[in-house]
Amino acid sequence: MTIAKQIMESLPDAIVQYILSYMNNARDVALCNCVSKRWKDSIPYIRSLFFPRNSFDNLTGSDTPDDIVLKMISLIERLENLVVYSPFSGAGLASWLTLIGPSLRYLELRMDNLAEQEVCNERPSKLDCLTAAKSLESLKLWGVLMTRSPKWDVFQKLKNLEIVGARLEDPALSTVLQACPNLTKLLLLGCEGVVAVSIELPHLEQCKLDFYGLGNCSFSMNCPKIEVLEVQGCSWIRVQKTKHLRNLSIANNAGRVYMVDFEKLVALESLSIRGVQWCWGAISSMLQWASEVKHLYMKVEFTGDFETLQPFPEVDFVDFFNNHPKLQNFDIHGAMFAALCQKNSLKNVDSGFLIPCLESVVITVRSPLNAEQKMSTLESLLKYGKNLKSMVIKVLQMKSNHSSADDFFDEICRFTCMNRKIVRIE
Amino acid sequence: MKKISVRTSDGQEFELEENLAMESATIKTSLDAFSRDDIILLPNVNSWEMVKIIEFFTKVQELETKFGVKFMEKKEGRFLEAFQAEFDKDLSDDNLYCLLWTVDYLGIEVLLENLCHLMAERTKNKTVESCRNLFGVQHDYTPEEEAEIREDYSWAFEGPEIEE
Repeated sequence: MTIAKQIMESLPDAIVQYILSYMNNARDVALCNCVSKRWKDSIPYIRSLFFPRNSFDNLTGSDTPDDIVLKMISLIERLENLVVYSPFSGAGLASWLTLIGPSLRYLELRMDNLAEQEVCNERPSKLDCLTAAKSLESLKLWGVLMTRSPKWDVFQKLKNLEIVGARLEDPALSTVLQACPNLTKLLLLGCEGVVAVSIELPHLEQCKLDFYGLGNCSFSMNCPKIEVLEVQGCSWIRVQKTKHLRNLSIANNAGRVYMVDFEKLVALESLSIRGVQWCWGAISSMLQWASEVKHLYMKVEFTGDFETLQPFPEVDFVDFFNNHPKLQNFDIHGAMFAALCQKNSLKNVDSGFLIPCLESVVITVRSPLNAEQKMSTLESLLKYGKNLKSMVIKVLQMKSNHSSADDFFDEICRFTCMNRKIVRIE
Repeated sequence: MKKISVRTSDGQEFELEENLAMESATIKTSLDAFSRDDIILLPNVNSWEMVKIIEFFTKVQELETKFGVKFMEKKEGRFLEAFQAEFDKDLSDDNLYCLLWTVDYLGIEVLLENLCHLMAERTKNKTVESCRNLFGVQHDYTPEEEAEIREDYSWAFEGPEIEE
């Protein structure tokens, strides 16, 4: 044995335990039992266990996966984190939580119920079992069928809740939120079945919601500490107490956004609005409330208050930039860019007009209509944006077969060449 | 900021800022016993190890300034993965053992946590035999005992052969 290895063997038990406490893959931990007696004795000090998806793909022994997880868990004195991606049953989960419920702080499970068409008949249901983990600070669930309200007591310590890939019903979601009054972070991604959701969590700071379906969910929020909010899939949105809201993103891939109600967004630094169709009232309200914004991303294809898709009305260039004086980064797509390029957009320019803070602009152009106005707008951005460092022009597939598309593209190229330091095409 | 001088086993001298030197419980004890002007002798510490320790402190201070988090005060041993990867890159297994032992001797909690984590990373996905090699562990089970354990945890020994 080399000197170095003699050193390793002479390390105090505490250090060996310290090292092994960082192991978390269940298979590695199981092997530790076999390495030596000292290692076996160090296993109780491990803090986390992780079972990858394929942990039990090649089982030959008589133990079931539930038994094996239970056996591993029982080796450990005070398990804090458990992640199980391999399949398990409700009874198994119940048995594990009886053992580690009191100490467990972080739990992540692949529930894997979405394929089941019928409402869970399993007794006990996996969701119901979770209530035994009373000290949880963070819970993450993948693939959850939550059509029935889970029988949960309050999770007093739960700060972080993430549900990814779920089929929900409104009452069930409501029960879940009521059981987690102290959340600071909430993520609901890839969730189907929500019609209306109301979130009133006094400590919530970050919230990200992504609802599948027709894009017509109603969403209301009253969370005085909210700082970051992302919502996808809602058509009616009301958010009160926005004093601390810094980052806001509203998107709707499937439906029409027709009502938004925020108070004045005094702290908003970053705003992103995206979707196929937004009512004009909603867009102009958002832009009005977000007057302090530094980063603005706009990609809405159409407007219109009803089913019919309408193009955007004129937006006055000067008014727009005067109303958003702190704008540093501006990313604008096709139809909305066209709105800034209407005939009269630049008629209010006076000598004192400036776009002082603008540093970067990304413009996506799709149609050669109004080419002259568009070029003029591009030139104005350069002219009045004294601090502009970068302008990126993305030219997507032009929606016209006329030579006007080619002409327009040539114009853009010429413009780019003349301003090579700042402008580039992608 | 007062500087503390230390001398390693091979006669090289290093200067550490006082607050960093105090991160070592061993050095701190020496300082309490003797005057700060004396050179502290560290016969159990090699100069290359000292260099590595100073590198660590320097990097932590950079990160503290960049992110405004007092890692050392908060005893946050687990820093950004990129930093860990860089620190790990040049350390051979043998070097890691020596450094681990030295840092334990010096009682630098924050660095110890990092090194233990690095060591644990190197233990992942290994067979029992390669773990024994890696750690220089004496095989102290009888064949019967070992067979019993392998039976108990048969699920972990099944599946594709994991790499050395």
